[in-house]
Amino acid sequence: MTPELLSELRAIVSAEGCRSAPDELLVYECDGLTLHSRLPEAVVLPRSREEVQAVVRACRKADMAFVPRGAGTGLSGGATPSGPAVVIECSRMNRILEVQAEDRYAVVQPGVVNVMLSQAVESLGLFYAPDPSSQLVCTIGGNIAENAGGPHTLKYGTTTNHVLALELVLPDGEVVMLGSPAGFAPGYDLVGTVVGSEGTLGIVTCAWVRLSPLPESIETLLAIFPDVVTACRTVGKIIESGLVPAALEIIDQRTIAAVEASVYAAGLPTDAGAILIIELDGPAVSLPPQVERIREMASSEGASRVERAADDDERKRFWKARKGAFGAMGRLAPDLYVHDAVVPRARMPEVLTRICEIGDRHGLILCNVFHAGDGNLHPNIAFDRRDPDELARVMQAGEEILRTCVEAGGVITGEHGIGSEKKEYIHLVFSEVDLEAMKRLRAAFDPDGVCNPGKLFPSTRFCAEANPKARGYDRVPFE
Amino acid sequence: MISTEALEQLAAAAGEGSLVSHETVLVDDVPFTVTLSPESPEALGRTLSTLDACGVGVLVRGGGSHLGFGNPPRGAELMLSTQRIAGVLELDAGDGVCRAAAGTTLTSLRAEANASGWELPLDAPGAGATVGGVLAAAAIGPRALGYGLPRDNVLGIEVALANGDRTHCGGRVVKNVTGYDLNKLYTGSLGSLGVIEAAWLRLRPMPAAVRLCEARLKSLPQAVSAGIEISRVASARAVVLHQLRGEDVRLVVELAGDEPTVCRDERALASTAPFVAAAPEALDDLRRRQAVLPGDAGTRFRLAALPSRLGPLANSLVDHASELLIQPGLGLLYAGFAASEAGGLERVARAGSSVGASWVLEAAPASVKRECDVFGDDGTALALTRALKQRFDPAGRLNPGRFMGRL
Repeated sequence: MTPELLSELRAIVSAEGCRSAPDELLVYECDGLTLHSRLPEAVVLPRSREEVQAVVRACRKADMAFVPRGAGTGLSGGATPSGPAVVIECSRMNRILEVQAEDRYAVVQPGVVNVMLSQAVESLGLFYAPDPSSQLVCTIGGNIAENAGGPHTLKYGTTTNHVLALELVLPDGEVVMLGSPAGFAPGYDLVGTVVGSEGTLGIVTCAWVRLSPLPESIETLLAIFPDVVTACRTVGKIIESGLVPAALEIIDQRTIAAVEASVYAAGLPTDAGAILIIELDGPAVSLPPQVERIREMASSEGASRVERAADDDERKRFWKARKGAFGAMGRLAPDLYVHDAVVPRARMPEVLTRICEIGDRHGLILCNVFHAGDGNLHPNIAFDRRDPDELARVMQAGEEILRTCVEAGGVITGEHGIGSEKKEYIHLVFSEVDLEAMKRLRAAFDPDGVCNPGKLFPSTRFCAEANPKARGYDRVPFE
Repeated sequence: MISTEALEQLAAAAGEGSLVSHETVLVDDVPFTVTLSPESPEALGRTLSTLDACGVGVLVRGGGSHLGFGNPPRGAELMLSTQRIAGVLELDAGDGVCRAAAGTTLTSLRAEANASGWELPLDAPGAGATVGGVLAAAAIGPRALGYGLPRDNVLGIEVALANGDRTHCGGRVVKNVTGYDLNKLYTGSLGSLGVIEAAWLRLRPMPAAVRLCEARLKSLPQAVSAGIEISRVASARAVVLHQLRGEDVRLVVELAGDEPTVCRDERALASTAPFVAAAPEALDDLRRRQAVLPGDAGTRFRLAALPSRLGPLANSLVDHASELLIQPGLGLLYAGFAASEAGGLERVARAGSSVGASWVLEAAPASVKRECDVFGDDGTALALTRALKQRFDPAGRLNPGRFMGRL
C-alpha cells in the first residue's frame, strides 16, 4: 500500500485507530477459520459513519479493496482478506444509541457485542434473540453480515428476522438508509438482501434491531440416548408433533467424552451415546404438558433418562456441556475444523451415520454437536495441521461431508456463511445461472468488486478440487 | 404494437393453448386483450427468452387478486400468467415444508397442508390468489401477526429471469446462508426482477385450540391501545380493528395455540374490552374488507407506523377516511377514501410524515396513480432500486413502469 494512503487513513481515524506494523497486523491475519490467513495492508478502526465513508473513499481513490470486520469470530474466512486490502474493524463503533421499550427496538452501532444488548435491555423485560455461540464477543455488525443464528433460532429465527433497518455505507462511499424501524418499508426488501451478504455489499454503520419479550417461563430437559440416531429420531418426532421448542441441541458420545475430560465437565454420563437438550419457553401454563409429551416421545425412542432442570443453576449445567463443547475439543488436537451444513430434519439419522463413517474411513477424530431442531449439523474435526497427510484427509473428509449433505437435500452452510472457506463448493448447490443472478445483485451494490472481494463466488483462476492450495490450506504451519 | 410473427413465436415458446385472446382487461386504464400462459416452467423460460428477443414487455400476473397494486403499466403489450404452472410439488409432513408451483392457489395448497396436519402461513385476501402472486406482492392477511410475513416463510424460490434463465435460490431446509438471500429480494418485488416459478415454504403447526371473539368500542384511541396490548399476548394470531366513519370500532381477535395458553389469554382479554364470541366468518369478512375497501373508484392506503405512533396516526385520519382497518400488532393501518372524498393523498402524506410512518397506495383510479408514485417516499434507496432493476431486467421487459420509481 502506498505511504499516501496510509497517511490519509491515519488522518481520518487518528494514529491510534490505524494499525500497520506487522506485529499489529498479525492479529487480523484470519478470523475463526484459522486455516485461511492473509495479512491486511492496514487495519482501521473508525469511530463514526463519517469516518467509515472517508476510509472507503480513500481506499477507492487508491484503488485498494477493503474488508469489513466485527470481532473476527466468523468461521468461514469472511473477515480475512483474500488479496491486498484494508480491514475496516468496527469495534470502536460500539454504542447502543437508543432503546425504545414500548416499540420494542434498539438502535445500535455495528460494534456492539451481541450479549451486551440483551444485558442492557433485560431490566425492561426484553432481549435480543439471535444468540450465536460466540455471543460473548461477537458483534451485531458481524451477525448481520453472516445472518448469524444460534441454538435458539429454532423458535426465534436468525438475525434476518430481527433487523428492521440499516444504515449502510455503500462501496462507493455513499450512505443509504434501508428499511424502516416500523417495518414494511416500500420497495425491495433491501434489509433482507443485505443481511447475510457477508460484508460484500457495503458496511453497516447503524442497525435498528427488534427486541423480544423475555419468556415468561423456561423448562430445560436433558435426555440421554444410546446413540445419536435415536436422539435424532426424537427430534423428528417433536417437529412432526407441532411442538416448537426454543432449542433442540444434540451432543454425540465423542463430544461428551471430550467435554467431561475438560474444564467444561458438566457431570454428563460418559457412557451415553448421545444427549439431547430440549429447551421450551413460553407461558407457564403451557409448559408442563409439553414437558410430559416430550418425555414420552424421548422414552419411546429409547432415552434411558430424561432429566428436567430443577432451577437456573441446573439449567446452566445442562448448557455448560453444549457451550463448552468447542473449547473441550481443543484438548484433542492443536486444530479444530468446525463444519456447518444443513439437511432436512428427517434425514439427520442417515446423514450423521454417513458423516461418522467418513471420519472413521479417513482416520480422523470427528465429533458432532449441533442444532438438531434446524437440521443444522456441525461435524467438528480435531487435527494437527503440521501433519500434511492428516490435513489432506481433513480436507477430503470435509468435501465428502458437504457432498453427503447436499445429496440428502441439504445445503453447505446454515449459519457460518460461504466466505472464502466454501466458495469453491457453492457449485454443489447452485448452477452457473443461479450464481449469475447473485452476481447481478453484487454488481448493483458493488460494480467494481472492491468490498470484501474473493468471497462467496468460486474463483475463476483456481479450482479447489484440483488445487487445494487455492483455498489457502498452505498457510504457515502452526508451531 | 406486437407483430403477428412475434405472437407466433411466443405461442410456440409457451406451448399449446398458451396464447389466449380475451375481452379487454383494464389495468390502470391500460387495456390488455391477450394473455400468455406458459404450460410449464420450461415453457416459461422459453417464453421470457422469446419476449426478450422480440423486445416485448409483459404484465406479469398470478391469480389477479393483486393486479391493481403498482404504478400504471407502461409499454407492456401482453399479460403473462403463471396460472397453468400449478400444483403442490412436494409436501414433507415430517419436516413441515412444502414446494408449490407459482400458479397454485392458496386455497388448494392450504387444503393439502391441512390434510397433512400443517397450516399454510399465508392468508392474503383474494379468492384466486396464487402462491407466486402472493409472494411477488408480499401480500398479507389478518393472520400475519401469528404466521409472520411471507418473507419469514419462504425457504427457497425458483425464478425465471428476464432473459429466460431459470434459477433458484435458498433451498428446502429451514436454516440456510448458502449464497445471497435472493428470497428476500424477490419476495415483494412485484415481478419486476423475474417471474416466480415455484417456492419452498415453511408450514406452521396446526393449533390445538382456536378462539375467535370480538368487541365493540366507542373510542378509536382506546381500541388501538387495547389492540396493541392484545397483540402481545402469546396466542394472538390475528388482531384487527375496523371502523366505518361515524360508527363504533369493531375489534376482532383470534387466539390460537395450546389449550392452556389460549384459555389463559382468553380470560386476560376480558380486562381489555367487552369481548363476546365472534361469528366463524368474522375474520374472513375482515380479510375481504381489507382487499376491497373502499369500493370502486376509491383510494386505499396502507401506512406502517411504530406502535406508539399508531394511535395518533389513526386519530389524524379517522374524520377523513371513509373506513379504517388496523392491524395494531404489525403497526399497519389501511385507510380507505371514497371516490367522492378529495385530498386523501395529501392527508395521508401529511399524517404519515407527522408520525414517521411510511405509506403505499394500494388501490386507486389511474388518474390518482399518475399524480404520485404509489410506493410513496422512496427515501435514499431509489438509486439502488434502479441499479437492481437495471441488472436483473436491463431492457425493462417485466412489469415495466409498475415498481417503485415507475421502473
